[in-house]
Amino acid sequence: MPDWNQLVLDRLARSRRGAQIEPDVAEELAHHLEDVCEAGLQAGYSRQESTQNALKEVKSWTRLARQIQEERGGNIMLKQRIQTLWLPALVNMTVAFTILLGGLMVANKPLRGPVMSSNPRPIYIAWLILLPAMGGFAAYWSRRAGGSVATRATAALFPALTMLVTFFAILMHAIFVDHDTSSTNIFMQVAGSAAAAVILPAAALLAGAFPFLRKVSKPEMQEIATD
Amino acid sequence: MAISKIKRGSAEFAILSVLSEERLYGYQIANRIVERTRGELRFTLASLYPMLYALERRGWVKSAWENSSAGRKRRYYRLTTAGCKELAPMRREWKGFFRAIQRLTGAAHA
Repeated sequence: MPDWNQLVLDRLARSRRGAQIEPDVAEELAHHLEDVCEAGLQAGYSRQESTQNALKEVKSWTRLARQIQEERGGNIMLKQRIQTLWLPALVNMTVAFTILLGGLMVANKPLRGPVMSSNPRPIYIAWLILLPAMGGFAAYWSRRAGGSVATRATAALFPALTMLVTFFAILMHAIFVDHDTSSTNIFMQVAGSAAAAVILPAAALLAGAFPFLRKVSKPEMQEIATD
Repeated sequence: MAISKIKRGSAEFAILSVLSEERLYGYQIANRIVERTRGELRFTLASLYPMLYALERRGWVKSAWENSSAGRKRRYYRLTTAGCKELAPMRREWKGFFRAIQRLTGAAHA
């Protein structure tokens, strides 16, 4: 009798969708074919006839792979996205902002207005020094969960991305709602704030994430996934 | 289109019906349906598993890997409470549908 598990894996792997099907589904399909083949043997068919009968259970492996993927794929992809991106990214952001705001509160700085407009420089610098560790941790977590290079980078950069969105919203509000364009150095102020709120934190996060952003070879990836 | 919907509906009904009696794995489900319908309904691997996964996604059946009586590892499916609730009205609808078809075929032969 053929190695049914290998046969199913090989036939599923011919299509892109089939290659993404979970190993336990392939195992289940292999068991079914094995049972059909054994029933054929018990009914008096030859080994070859029984194998051929079992193979007739599937006319199109591509179509089967598509149907299975449609029924099971959505959940898997969502679960994978949560594990590789959202969990590390949100934990990274929460820790980064908790440390920053906690530091500012401990230093007894008022939290009114844009955080960087007052002079919390020592807290900010200490926070910047800590950011590479947070970026590295998020990228490492994402890589362990099987995240792609882009996903790992996004998870690592998430606090800076949040700052970018917040900064952009504040800027738009200042320009279009408050019409606060009176300052002659508006562009210098914007550039300075962008550097402090977005660019420097992004660079620090990325520096920490860098060792975990290289492409992982397939065997190494399997090792990580099975750890 | 209508025929394919009827086929899909009858296939779901058949699977839920046999699972309402006991937990079974895929190959057993296919065999049980052939036995019960005297070969009128047959499931191949390609038609059975996508449907089982669809029923599981809807929460009507639940699966778990267990050892069979022969000591082999198999994924067994069992009906959930939600599946039981779906099955009762399904039974009524199918009975009503077949009564209607019988009346139609009876009228055609008369």
